[in-house]
Amino acid sequence: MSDVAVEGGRAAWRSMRRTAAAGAGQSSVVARPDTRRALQLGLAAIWLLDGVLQYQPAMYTKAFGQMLAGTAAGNPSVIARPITWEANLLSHHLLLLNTVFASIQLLLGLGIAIRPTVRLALAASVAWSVAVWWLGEGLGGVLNGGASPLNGAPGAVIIYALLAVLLWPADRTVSARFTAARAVGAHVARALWLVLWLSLAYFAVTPANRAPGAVSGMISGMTDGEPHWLSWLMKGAASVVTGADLATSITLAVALALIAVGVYLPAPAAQGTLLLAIVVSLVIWVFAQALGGILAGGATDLNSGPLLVLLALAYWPVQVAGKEIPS
Amino acid sequence: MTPSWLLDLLAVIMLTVAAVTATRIVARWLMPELLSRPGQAANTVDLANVLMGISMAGMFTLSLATLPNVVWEVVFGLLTAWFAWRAWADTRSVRDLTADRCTLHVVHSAAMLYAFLALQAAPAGGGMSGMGGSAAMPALSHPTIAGAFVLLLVGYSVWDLNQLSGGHYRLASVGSLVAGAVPAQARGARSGDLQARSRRSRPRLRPSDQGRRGHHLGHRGGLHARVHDLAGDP
Repeated sequence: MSDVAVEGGRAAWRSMRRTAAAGAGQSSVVARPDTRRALQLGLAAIWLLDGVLQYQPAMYTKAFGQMLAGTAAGNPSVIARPITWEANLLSHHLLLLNTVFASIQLLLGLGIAIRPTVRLALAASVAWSVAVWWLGEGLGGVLNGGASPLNGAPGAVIIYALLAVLLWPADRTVSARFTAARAVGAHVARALWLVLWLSLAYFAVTPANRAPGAVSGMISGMTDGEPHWLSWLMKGAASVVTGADLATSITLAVALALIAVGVYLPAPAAQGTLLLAIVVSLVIWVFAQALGGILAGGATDLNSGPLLVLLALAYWPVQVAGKEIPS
Repeated sequence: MTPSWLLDLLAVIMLTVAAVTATRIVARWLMPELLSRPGQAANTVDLANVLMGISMAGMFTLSLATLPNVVWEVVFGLLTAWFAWRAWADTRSVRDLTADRCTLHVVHSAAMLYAFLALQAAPAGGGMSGMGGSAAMPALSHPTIAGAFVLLLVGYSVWDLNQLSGGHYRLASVGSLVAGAVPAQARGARSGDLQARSRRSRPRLRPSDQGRRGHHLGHRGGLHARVHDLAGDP
């Protein structure tokens, strides 16, 4: 509730602003962060929202522990046992542990948003994300055959970790061609992008996901409890792909593979594939992930759609000194 | 079901915010020369914050509910209308609108209005044993609107935290800038003070920095402006 700027009245504020603009030779008084900071703030907002969602009443019920325990199914025992142990622990200390979980996510969001603590929060978010990816998402279903780009593969939370690494506030190269390259270098950043999107393309055509009724069933299965308008959109999408599940899976896989190699293309083509990545992510988020289920209650996060959009923006070619850097 | 102690804690935080803001209102009334924060908007903002704190405490803990929901609906309906009118009257462009603090309070008040209008009685059952005594588990109708408010307010919170925690964020007197903004009588009364402060702070405003520097002008009694770095990584 920072209301400082209200003081003094609006007329005075506008007058001051005009004077400031004239004095400084610029037209805006709103401090605009650079691209990386803006993306960090996007990540902070998502963490903050996750923390808020984790405080929901539904998270304080045994259903939350059961949901976590369910992610152990189909995983190798070395992966599944810690998940089962953690779910049992949670069921015995639900109030305490869920409050701790929610508070950690809240603090991660606040820490990234507050400049002096951004490094600490990003580092902590990597550790937290990896832990949740294993103990909370069962590695996103990567090893049990349940992963699909439509349900958030390879686990939304691991994309948080990836973003934290790519948006780390350090500059490895002087003239990075895109924001994600600043911290880890262009080669590593592109390789990470390639691995992520190629894995999504692979998951789109795994036997479980190309089976008859797999895609339409996944979409229609997400409509329960959603607002009418969203449920209507999703049912429409499900009816469109009904009977064409294999074709849908193949089309999706081709698009994802194209996106994967897009960052190696010249700048205009790369921008086109990044735009495609954003569109595909948003379509999946709305029509298949039901906006992460946040409107139905009981969702713990926004799912992978917004994170993939944020990731695509981190690879958008940047301009330096008014000139676009060739790719 | 959310544990009662957590809801009680949130209620205490809300009441603390309300109490601090109410103290500021009283202090301003008793000592206007020390806490000069003129303007009808500032008073209404503080009053709105007090009312929000009290009403939200009642939402979290039923025993702290002070007024019937319908009264709060009227209160926040009026506040929404008032802030919307202020924002509209002071706005000449979309940029003005997004930078206007009254716009933020339109969202705050409208969110409170929505919350009271959309609150529904919770279905019986579903909670855990041993956690009684708190407010009934609420359910909101039209969750899309709730989601939109949450996204707006979370986004704003993150943006505001970034602005407030800027590495180069500082209070600096910029007399030459403020001179055109302070009302004439205030300018006459305090011009000497302003000039002195301006001289002290001038070396901080290097011309070479101006190209990348933004000016976020908050008013401290109409006499100060906050200047901080425009960009940058932490």
